[in-house]
Amino acid sequence: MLRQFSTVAVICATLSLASTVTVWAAIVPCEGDIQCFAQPTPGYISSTTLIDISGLTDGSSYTSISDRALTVDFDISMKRLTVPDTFATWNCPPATEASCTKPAAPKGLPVLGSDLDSSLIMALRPAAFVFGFEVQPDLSDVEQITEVVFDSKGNDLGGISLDVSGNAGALLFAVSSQTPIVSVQLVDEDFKDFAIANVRYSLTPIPEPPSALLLGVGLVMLAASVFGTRAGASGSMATRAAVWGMSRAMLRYARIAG
Amino acid sequence: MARVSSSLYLRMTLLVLFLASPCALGADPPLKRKDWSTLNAAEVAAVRNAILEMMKKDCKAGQEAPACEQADDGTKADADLSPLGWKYQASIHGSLPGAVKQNGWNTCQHSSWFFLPWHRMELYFFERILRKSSGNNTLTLPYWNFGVQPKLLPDFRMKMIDGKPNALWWKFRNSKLNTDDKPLCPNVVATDKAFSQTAFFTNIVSNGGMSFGGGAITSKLHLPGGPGSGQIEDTPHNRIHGAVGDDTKKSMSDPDGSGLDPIFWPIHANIDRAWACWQQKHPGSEPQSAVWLKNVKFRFFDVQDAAPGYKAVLMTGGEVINTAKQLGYEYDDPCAGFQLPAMAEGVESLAAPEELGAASLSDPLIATAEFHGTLTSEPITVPIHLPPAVQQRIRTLLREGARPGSIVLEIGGLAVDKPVGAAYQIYLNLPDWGVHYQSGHYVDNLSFFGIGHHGSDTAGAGDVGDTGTSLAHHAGETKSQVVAEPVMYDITDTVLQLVENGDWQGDQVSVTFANAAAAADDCADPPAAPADAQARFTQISLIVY
Repeated sequence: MLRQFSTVAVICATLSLASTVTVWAAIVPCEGDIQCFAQPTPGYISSTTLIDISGLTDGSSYTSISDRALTVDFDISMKRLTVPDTFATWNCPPATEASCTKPAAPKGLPVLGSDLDSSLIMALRPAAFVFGFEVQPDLSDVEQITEVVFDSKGNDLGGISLDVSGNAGALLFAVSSQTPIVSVQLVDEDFKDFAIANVRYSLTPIPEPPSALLLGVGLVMLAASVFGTRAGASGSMATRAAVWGMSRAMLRYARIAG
Repeated sequence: MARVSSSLYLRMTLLVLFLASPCALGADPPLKRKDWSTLNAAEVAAVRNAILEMMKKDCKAGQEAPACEQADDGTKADADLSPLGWKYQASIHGSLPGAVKQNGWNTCQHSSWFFLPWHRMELYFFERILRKSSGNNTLTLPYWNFGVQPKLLPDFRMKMIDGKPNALWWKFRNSKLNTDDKPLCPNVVATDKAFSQTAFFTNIVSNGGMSFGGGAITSKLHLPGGPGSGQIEDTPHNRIHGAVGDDTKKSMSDPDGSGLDPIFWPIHANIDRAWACWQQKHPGSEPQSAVWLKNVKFRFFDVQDAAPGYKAVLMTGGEVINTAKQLGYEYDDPCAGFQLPAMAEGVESLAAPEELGAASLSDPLIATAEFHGTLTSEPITVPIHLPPAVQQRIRTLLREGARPGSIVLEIGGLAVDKPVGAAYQIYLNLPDWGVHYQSGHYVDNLSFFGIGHHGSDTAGAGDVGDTGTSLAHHAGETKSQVVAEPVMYDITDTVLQLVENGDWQGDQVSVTFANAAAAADDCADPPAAPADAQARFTQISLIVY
């Protein structure tokens, strides 16, 4: 019984760690106590929920979007537009999520344009632990865009700043925090307007690699202990080798993620 | 042995260089398009005679070129015109009222990111026809460098040349240019605003004025003019059309007749050169969009290299990016005569964020006034009352530092009853001493070029057969055409300057529309709209972000 439990625990730990590693493999450095995702990897997409805005009316302006689980309030009106009909260009995977191959744009992708405004504050109800979206300037030049996230007390949790091209150069601005994110400010530092798309969130935190690593190692050690007890001093060398190998593999993954 | 090896190496290097040269590959080096004012007499004569040959194709029996083109009824029936003739080529841009539309007519692209590529294509095929007409394999279309030489080129002002009618002369022009030897006004040929743009296009068409080349659209847009125009299309292009023409149907004032005037082509060559200059300053700025690059195709007519006659061709934006490699021509000096601000060289002109203070995070505040009159030769002033909230927002912006685009003037409901090339200078709080575009009260120009036209022709070129089949239906009827989207002007800097000079009252702003042609004795400006054109707008708003 204990052996079966240990086997399941090892598998769970492996899967958990692998999943975490998959998500965290896309992480890039950013300022503050947050982690940022460079690209919408399968791990990022699978661990977050998309707020679908395709049902909004093209050309109409909105001050919030919601999927019932999460509501995002805007401090300005955001105009619903469609790529490429009313917003000409975007980007393609792996930089962004919607399927396309350049120079084609992701046909039918709904976006929200800031309509000449260069700053947007998004208030999240409830707070989220992961929040992300794609951004592209309206003008075709390269503009510096900054995202800053805040907690419930208005503390700056961190941010990311990227140079984004308006010429089919949309990029992902996504962050993960262990502290609940209550609001997000997006600023085009060149004082020009922009559009966002594929707003995603997670209401639960993604375990940080060290936490996941500790969990994994703990379970592995538990399993090793159980295997060792059951097998005794003359236990199966193959089993020991398997556990040892798994531990090594996890450590290697942890190094990649770190 | 060492000496032999070096020699061998040298020979092989030379051989490789030779084989890689355009001569060895059979590719001709690109031809140079030259500044018209630098042409020698023989070169001018070659172009003039080639134009005359194209015009001769059009004349009906008993008529002679070039007079047949300017006469009311001097040319053949539309269906009998050759695509390689003068009138057909002009009608590809736009055909005269009442014309029986032929294949590829009325397809000029304005007010969008297709403005520059379409006109590059148009010039390219026109130049090939001109070259073949001349019999000179190296003839190119010269450009009018109006920034350096704002007077109409002398070769175009002479009615007769060597005792014969001059094919470059056109009677439907502003007399200030054609006979009075006056230059185009400086604000007409200005290129500083266009070259200060850092973006080639905008993803949202209505924001086209914030870019060099225009706003993005997904299909063809013939006319009317509107907010999708990039800055190079607005000024100098639109204003030159208005200033050179005389508001008649065969003049530069009307997109439908403008291609008939021989100066149309050197003017557009200079606009094309401006794009070439922009490309040099902003390499790789062309839209990375399948729509612009390859999906939207435009119809033109090309000469047959080894045979008489013509062939219909389709072309896309992606095929006209590199003029030297794709089209076989380049300019002798792409940027000479253009006003290039420092930021066009990559120097950031905007103030750093910390110098500008916190960005406004509120919804825009709007003050609006309605206007029910028409614009004529007399200045019109429209007062806009500014509610306390707008006044407060402006004061806050001034205190904290207003960023570009903070204060916008929006004009909506533009319309005319017939095409005109009229333009009006816009001023804020204009004092009694009158208009001057270099004063701190000047905002920009409101151009009616292209507005009031018979409308778009989105199903035109590229959607018909390749055999020159006639599309027989009447085109060119004029009717009132309201611009779908309002025209916007960033007036932040103007307001800042007025405040600094004590010319800002706070609770009200007066917006004056003045046509400067009458006042500009020393230069040619776009004329005022005639009364029967009913040039008008319905609403003017001051928006504070």
